Amino acid sequence: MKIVLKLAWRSFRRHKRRAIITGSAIALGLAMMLVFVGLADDGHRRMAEMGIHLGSGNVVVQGNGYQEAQTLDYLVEDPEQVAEIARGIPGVSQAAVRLNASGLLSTGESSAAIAVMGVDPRIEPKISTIASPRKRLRGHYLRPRDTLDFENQPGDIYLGDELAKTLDLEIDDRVVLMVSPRGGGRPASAAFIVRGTFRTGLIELDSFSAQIDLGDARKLLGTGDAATQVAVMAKDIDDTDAIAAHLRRALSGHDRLEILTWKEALRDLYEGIVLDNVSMYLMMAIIFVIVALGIFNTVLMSVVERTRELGVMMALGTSKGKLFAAVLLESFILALVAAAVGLAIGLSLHAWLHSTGIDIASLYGENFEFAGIALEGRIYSYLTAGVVIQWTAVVIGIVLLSSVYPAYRASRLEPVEAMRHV
Amino acid sequence: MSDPIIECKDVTKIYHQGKIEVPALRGITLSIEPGEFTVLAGSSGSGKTTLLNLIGALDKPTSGSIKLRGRELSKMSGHELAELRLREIGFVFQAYNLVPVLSAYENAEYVLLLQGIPAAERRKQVMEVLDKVGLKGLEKRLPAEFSGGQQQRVAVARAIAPKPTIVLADEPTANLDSKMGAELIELMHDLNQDYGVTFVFSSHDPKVIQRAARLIRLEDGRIIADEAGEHRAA
Repeated sequence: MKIVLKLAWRSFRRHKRRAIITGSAIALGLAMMLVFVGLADDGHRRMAEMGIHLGSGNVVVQGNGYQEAQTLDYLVEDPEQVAEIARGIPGVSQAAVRLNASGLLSTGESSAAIAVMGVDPRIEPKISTIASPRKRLRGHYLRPRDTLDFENQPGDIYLGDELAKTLDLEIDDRVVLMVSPRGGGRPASAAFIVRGTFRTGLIELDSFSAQIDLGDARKLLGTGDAATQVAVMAKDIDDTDAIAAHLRRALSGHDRLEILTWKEALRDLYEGIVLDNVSMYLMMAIIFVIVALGIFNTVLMSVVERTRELGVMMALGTSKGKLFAAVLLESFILALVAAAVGLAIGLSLHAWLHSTGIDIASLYGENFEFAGIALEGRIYSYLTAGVVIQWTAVVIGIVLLSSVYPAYRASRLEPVEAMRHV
Repeated sequence: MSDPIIECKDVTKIYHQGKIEVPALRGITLSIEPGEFTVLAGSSGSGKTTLLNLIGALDKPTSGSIKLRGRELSKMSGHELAELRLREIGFVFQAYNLVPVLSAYENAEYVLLLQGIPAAERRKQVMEVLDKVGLKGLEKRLPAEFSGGQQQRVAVARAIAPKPTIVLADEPTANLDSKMGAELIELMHDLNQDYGVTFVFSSHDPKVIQRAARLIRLEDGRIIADEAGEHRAA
């Protein structure tokens, strides 16, 4: 094998210009790939994180059937206990009990159909985008019900700013929320005081949603201690599946529950990300088909140029296998050197993009919305060692694959004819 | 008398140019004994190179039998023929045909490496043959840095370093001027005399033919004369 390696290495060094041109294409291909993947992965993670914080968390535990029906017929009967179990799972940062319903919000003059969510005001600001002070436009967030002076005092309502505008509401205005309680029957209603408004940039949230205290919601909807869901937040999005698996084991006795990860609960978002990845991979595939054709051409030309030399080597007793290996090994050396350069360029760009990032508005314009998520701020590059290794291996694999036919051709030469080659 | 190294019996070789059959050899029968210094002589197209290619297991005859140390070449697979060339035969080509990316030392070492000879032994053998062919001290040079005569000396070193059963040289002096050609033939003659290396080479150069211990004349693919003894001009 030593002679094969020596031949491959010498031949690689002899054709410097060829190595530089082909190697540059490979190196730039890999560097571009790492930048694209890094930015896309970070963008996707941000979208997922936003979806998770706007919606149901990394993992959501809800009544079995709720995902389809979205009615109060499918509830978690002991949500506090479920939340407590969830909080004990490694990697879980918080678990929030929520009660979702639809209702009609009325002022004296007008009314609007809304999605209302009963929440724990002590927990939500820590985990939910809607409750985050960054998204608050006017007023304050909900106060916990038990801090209010009187049992019959109207509770707080926190609503989308567009909704507030539609109903011409100001802070401290009084509104009436009417809902269909659990099990049907007469609609129930209660008065609320507008405590604050939020703006997420997403029209369905800003124009149609509101939050009230969980206790108020339970009372109004007649659900007792039940809730529609327990949203479980992970410290790291990558732990989502492990946490879901852990929860499924821990809650295996509760057959009336469904446990969904954000990929299942936010299917539109997840499918959007998958589709975006597919289109990115398609683009990369096109780039690499072009690079592969270039490599194929270069290696084949090199074999044709060296027909006589290869013929001599065969005449001297070099086996077909060794000749095949020598050509392939030369490509492998080229791939390794080019990959090292590509990694150096790609990882330098990654380091810069990881710390500085790119302003999304400069890339896509203001209010870039993806699968119902408004992406804002900057995107950075996000790469893991696994992703870098995977794409480097793909690039080296493509180079080797492009060289298989030329190497095969070299090994099929007949020494006498090959030595006649000029 | 020892067993012959090469035995050819009724060997024919027909090339095909489209639908036309071009006979290159028409029934060659000969044997080569160990230690011979044999020249295949003949004009261009007489079949010298074809015969050397067949003896060298580089090509297969259309009919007839060729045995190298008793082994029938036509019955061997491509892999077995490659192994046979590696172990038994040294080649010297008209156009030197050195591996351009390898130094003189590495070219001479090439076959030994393929044979799997240990490093220390390899080094000893290579240095010995480079000394014999007069290239001591120039081991690190690449083929392009040598004159034609020197390149052919490297080729001879490469051919004899593994101590093959037979060295086949196809018009080894054709690309050299007469002085260099004469020196090369003297070198090969000395190697034959001093070390018993068996040489068979083709040539149509009268000066080369003169030095042959055995002269086989070919014409139109047939042996027309097979003369033993010195052919040097008196």
